[in-house]
Amino acid sequence: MSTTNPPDGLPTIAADDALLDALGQGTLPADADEVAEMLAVWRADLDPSDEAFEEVDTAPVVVLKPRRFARVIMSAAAGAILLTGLGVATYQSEPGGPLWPITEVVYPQQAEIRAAENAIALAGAALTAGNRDEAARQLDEADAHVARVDDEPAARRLRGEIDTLRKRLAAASPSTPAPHPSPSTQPTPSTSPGTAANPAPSAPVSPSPSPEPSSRPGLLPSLLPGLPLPTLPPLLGN
Amino acid sequence: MSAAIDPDLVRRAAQRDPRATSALLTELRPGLVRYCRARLGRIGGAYTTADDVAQEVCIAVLRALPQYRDEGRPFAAFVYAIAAHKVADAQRAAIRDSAVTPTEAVLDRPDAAPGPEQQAVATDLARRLSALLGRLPEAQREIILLRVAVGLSADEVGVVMGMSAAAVRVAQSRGLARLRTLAGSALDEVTAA
Repeated sequence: MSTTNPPDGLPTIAADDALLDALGQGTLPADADEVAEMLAVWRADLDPSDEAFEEVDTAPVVVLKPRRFARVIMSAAAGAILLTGLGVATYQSEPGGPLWPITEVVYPQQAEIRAAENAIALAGAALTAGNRDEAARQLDEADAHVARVDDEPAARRLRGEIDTLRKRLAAASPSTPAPHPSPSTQPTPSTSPGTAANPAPSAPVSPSPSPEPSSRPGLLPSLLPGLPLPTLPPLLGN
Repeated sequence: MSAAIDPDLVRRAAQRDPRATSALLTELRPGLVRYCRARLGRIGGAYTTADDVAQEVCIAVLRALPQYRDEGRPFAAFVYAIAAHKVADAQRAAIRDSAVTPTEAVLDRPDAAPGPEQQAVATDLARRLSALLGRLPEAQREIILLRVAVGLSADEVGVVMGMSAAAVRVAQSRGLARLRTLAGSALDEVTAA
């Protein structure tokens, strides 16, 4: 078999080409010689065969000597399984982890959710550690990620977590006003910019206590919005 | 999985379609893993390093994808040019750190922890073939590697290597003939030893 003649004849070239085509597909022709067998084993050895779990029926391989090359089939199947495994691992990877760059590209939505969760967790940790600036920063980042999440239930859940932390952040704030005031805008008496003469009497700010709203809820509901009125008259006098 | 990659899939992946990207990666990865394993061998007895490099190649391909323009060249040429660069980087790093012996030296060494007998025999065969490949001229070795380990067609290999498909076919036949000769004499050595 080990002839030293260079096989430049056309039939040899065509036969070798067909052989390499077959080997490249993970198959081995019936009339394969020793080197071809070694190449087939070598190729099978290169296949990622470590993660053999389940579903061994997906091998798209036609093998002509099944007993000897059952290993080739197994390897091909294992390769398919490894891919599935990598897919799952990528899907579940964490920011900063080894598979994260792939997750960002392949599962952008999942990446946004993970990144938001990550920021929320960091914000919580920063809050616990008393680092309010860091917590606020992480919450802003989480907001940015959530804004890009299309999955509405997930986005709602994340916004809920962010709101909870924002409330904790506001509660932990010493003296400074809460960074995110609730929409209930109470007009403060400081709306008197021009009048340096007379500071508005602070008395009207505490208006008459609303007379037991629970007593007659059905009657005269239009009276309730009248509460902010007392602050106006003294300012206009100037 | 070695059939030419659907250009439409590549185009959609280049536009960041997540499903197309995922599908493309699924198609590319086995060949890339085998390529890196074939080029780098078992370092320290395992394919861990080779698989890490394959992972880097996947990331590099995905990152470079938006710049890829279909100009009639097979997509495989784009991918395996990146892979060849990454493998060369890894080899240079390995030599620089000199923490790792060159591939051939590792392959010649007996396996320290053989598994079951069949596994050992198969691994030994694969190892011997790796050693034989190491004695081929570099171009022939790369051609056989791309043809068998990756499963590219002669035409695709031609684009990757910058030569005509006909030249690939001649070179691969020469490589096979050389392997047959080497295998014969190597067997003699083994039986004589």
